[in-house]
Amino acid sequence: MTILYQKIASRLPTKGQIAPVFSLIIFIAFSWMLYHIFRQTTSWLYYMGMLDVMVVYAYAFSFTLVESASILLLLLVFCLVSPARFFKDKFVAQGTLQVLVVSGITYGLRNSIELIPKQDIQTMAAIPGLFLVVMIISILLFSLILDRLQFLSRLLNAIADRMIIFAYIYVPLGLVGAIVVILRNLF
Amino acid sequence: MPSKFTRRDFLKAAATLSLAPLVGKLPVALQQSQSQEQKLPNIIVVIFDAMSARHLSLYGYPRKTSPNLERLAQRSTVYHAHHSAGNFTAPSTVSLFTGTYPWTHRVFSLGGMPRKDLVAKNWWPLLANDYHLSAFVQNMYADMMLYQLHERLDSHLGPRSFGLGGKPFYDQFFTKDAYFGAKSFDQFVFDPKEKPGSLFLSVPNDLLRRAWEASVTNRLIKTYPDGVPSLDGTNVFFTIDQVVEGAKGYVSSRPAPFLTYLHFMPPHTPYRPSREFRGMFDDGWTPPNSKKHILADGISRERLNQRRQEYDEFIANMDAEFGRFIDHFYETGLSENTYLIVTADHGEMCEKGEQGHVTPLLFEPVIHIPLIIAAPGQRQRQDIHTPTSNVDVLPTLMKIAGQSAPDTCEGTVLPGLGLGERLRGLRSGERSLFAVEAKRNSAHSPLQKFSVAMIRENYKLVRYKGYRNNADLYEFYDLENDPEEKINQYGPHPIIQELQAEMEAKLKEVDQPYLRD
Repeated sequence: MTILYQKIASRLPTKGQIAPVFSLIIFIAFSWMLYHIFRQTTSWLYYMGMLDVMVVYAYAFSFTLVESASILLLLLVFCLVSPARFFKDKFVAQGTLQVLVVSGITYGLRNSIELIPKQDIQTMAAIPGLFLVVMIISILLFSLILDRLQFLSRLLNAIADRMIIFAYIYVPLGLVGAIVVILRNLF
Repeated sequence: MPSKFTRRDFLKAAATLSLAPLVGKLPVALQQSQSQEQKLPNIIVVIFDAMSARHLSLYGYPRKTSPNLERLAQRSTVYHAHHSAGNFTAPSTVSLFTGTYPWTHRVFSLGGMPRKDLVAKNWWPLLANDYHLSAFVQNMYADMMLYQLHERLDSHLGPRSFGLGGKPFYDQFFTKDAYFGAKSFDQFVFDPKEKPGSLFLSVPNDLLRRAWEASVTNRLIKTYPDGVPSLDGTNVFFTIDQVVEGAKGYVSSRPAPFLTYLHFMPPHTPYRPSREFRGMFDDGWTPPNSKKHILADGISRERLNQRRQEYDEFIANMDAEFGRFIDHFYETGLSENTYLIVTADHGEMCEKGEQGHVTPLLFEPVIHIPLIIAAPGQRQRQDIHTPTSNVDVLPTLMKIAGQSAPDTCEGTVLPGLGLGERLRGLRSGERSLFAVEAKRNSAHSPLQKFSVAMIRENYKLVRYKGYRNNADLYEFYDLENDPEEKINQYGPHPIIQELQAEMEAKLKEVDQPYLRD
């Protein structure tokens, strides 16, 4: 068991490398959520009190934290199964690009899903597979690009490092939200 | 050697013998205790979502949409002028539970929150000591209102019950905080209609929902060619026969005396009748032409007629399945000790350029709802033409339970049930009923953008304020001579002026608590 754990750990990036990438995910996820929650808040205040709206915020923050963690987990799984030179060795830069790829795909899919005919199960079933293929291709492609363009690697690292401040803000908000949700559903 | 009969033995025997006279009375005492518990009749309240009385053959609609309700009516009291206090689910449902109009309980929008003091003054907590409380609610918004008004029913089945699968998030994960669970997850994070609050996980959720819908639809395409009935805004699908069967079993298993609330989704959109009913009203009949109202969406007559046909067929489908519930009600003997109250939360428009009930309009099709009450052991039909409102249901239930209605209640006991209702105040002309729509108005402020309909006798005064160009528009209809509300007779007439003065006084009264100095 210990050997397996060590093997897995050796294929994963360090905490210092994970933190900037996670911060970027958090920044994107929370920005999207906050934009939409602020748009809704004015109409919610028509019939809810401020404290009631704060409860909805707590639910939203806690969910977004969990959502961010799940995207990080997805990237770590790709990192685990990919050869180290494609992902782990350049985790921050590659991870940053992959976060942008995942964000772009989900944003694009959002509107495209509406166009799929309702009975077309085959197309719907194909989407996860296509997503996987796009991810694999982008990992390979960006790995090549990052190897050749060192300045891009440095730039992406710098951007990701600067996202850490958002983690310091949003992660505590998410944790507080989670405590509120847990307490409200326990009692 | 015989054992000695000691002093202790003697005392034991004496004590036992002294209780002998009571032993014979024990079974009688138990029986009396049981019959005391069952002195109260059971109550079943059935709601059909978005069922307009104007579309029921029971009330004279030309299409045969409700033969089973007509059958029930033969042994019931039928109310011909029953109105909802709101034109969509949330305010109407809260009005039903609390006996107050929307301007009192302040639920003006789908996700609204009732006034806090009404949490203790609605039929759920008030009857909790006398009845086993149970509810099966298919409509998520009605369920959210119920959770706010009484969290701890003895039995509470949510929208996914008796369905084909699919679960709203609040019903699955957050039953202890259902209102906020629904508000946060089902209506924001994973909102299926607007932009959801989740960027990433809403996409796989959406895909799964669509795949689920496609698989259910393909599986049941022969029975439901237009798609399987579903709960608007959720991934819950159901077949009407399964839901009614489930409701039958649910009611049968309630311990007496019980108060059971059954809120069926049909005939609410999406209109998806089964193959047997699809096309049954391809009869070429078209309703009388109606002029588009200035506040309507402006849907074409052809489209309205098509949607009307689909709606009528869905009603007929629901009615046919509900016929089995009616049979069950009589065959099992429930009819001898149960009040069966069949009504709707609101109606539906298919005319005047408007379709559905998401509208500022308060014409009869959207607020005139059915009300049929079968009292225990009732054998004869009775027809009541006095205008009544769904705010009258609470005081009626309280009277059945031998209690008085709370001081906040704005309704009165329904006539015709022999419950000792006060005749004074119920004679036509002495009570005005109201319907209120104020989606665009804050619950915390006086009414500035709203629609109000006031019905007194056969007269109806409607006011639309704050819509187009902030106009203040009045309309007046004589429902007896102009039941289709084609001729707006608003003008300088003494009756109209009297009604208008009453409406204005009422609005001033209800706005008072929300005026800021």
